[in-house]
Amino acid sequence: MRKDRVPLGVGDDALDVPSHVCFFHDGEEELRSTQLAFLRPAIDDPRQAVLLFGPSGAAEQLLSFLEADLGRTLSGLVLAYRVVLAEGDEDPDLQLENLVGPLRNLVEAGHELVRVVGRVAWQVPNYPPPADFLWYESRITPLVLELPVAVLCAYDTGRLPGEALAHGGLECHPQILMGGKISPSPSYVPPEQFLSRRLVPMLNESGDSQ
Amino acid sequence: LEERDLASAAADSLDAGLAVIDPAGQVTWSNAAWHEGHRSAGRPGLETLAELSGRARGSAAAVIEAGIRSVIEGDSTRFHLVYSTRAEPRRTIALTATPLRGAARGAVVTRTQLGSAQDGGDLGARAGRSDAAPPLDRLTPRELQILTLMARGLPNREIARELEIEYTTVRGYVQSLIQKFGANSRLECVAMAYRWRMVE
Repeated sequence: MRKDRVPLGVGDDALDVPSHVCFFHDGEEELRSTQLAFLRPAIDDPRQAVLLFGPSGAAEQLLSFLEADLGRTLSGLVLAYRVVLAEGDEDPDLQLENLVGPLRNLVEAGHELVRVVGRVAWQVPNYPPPADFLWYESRITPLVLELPVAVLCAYDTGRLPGEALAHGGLECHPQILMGGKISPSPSYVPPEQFLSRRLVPMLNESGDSQ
Repeated sequence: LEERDLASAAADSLDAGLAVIDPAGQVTWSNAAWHEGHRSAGRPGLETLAELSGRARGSAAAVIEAGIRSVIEGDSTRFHLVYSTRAEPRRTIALTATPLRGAARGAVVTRTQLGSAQDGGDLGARAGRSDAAPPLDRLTPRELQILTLMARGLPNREIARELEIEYTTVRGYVQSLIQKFGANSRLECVAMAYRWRMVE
């Protein structure tokens, strides 16, 4: 059932598969409604799987939102490893492993599509510091291109600082989802250029590496 | 000795070149290492390739002037430049300007020889600082290979695939590189490697 495009569930738009999309939302309500619309087809279809990701506790919170909005528990799907909860690590390479490892496992287990919602955090304990997080974000796109997955990275515009929204949101994602519409990111920087053109000058300029 | 003489004596005992630059960009005071560096290296400029974080390009003199001026005028908190000459592309010298403390307008500029492929020098002893020397001669060929792939942005698993070695082996090499550079993370390590032109 590998699909080239799947309905987003919000409006009439559809997502490419594979895809890595920045979802700009304002507050919890918009996150919950979009997450529900995006993930519901996977909940109801055993050929699909769900991965929830973020800093410590974030995946559990996303699951609790989903269960409350669906009006039922998903513990059976969690036990069956069709809904997977994963969390980050302060080492950005390990964080990438924590995301891509379960994705590969789900695909190898026969799931034809994996829908991912990741909650973005900035400068929180036990999570990569900003520059490391940006490197991690920039590396997701080439890795998911090998897999039948659709990844929504949720950026809360009311909580995250401008540098997270600009560098992490706009520059690391080929597409953005805002107000129910998907469009190409106007500031996307290909991953093979992001480190040398963005991160290294930022680190050397800011003195972070002193 | 008066306090001023003590300060001068202390400054002259340092390996790093020190100079005070006034708002017009003129050197108003400098220590012995600064003079020595200028005498041995010649005037930087004619054959110098320089780049200031992509913000200013041109002759070294113009770039250095722009950088120091931006510190003096408060547009930047610091200015750091690493350059090499066409005659000796592997020899690098670092200039770092930081603003004078207090009410005086001006900047303190430090000049440090970072070494070359020929003389090696004090490599790695002060890694992690802007004026430290790169640990080039302390890297194994495999570490250098892995550093190059890290600088391309590849994660450990892709490096392992490219070099056909174990993922855990790559992790070990990356930790070793971070330690040798005196960095706090792989990104700091990569940033230093770019700054020192160990990678392109």
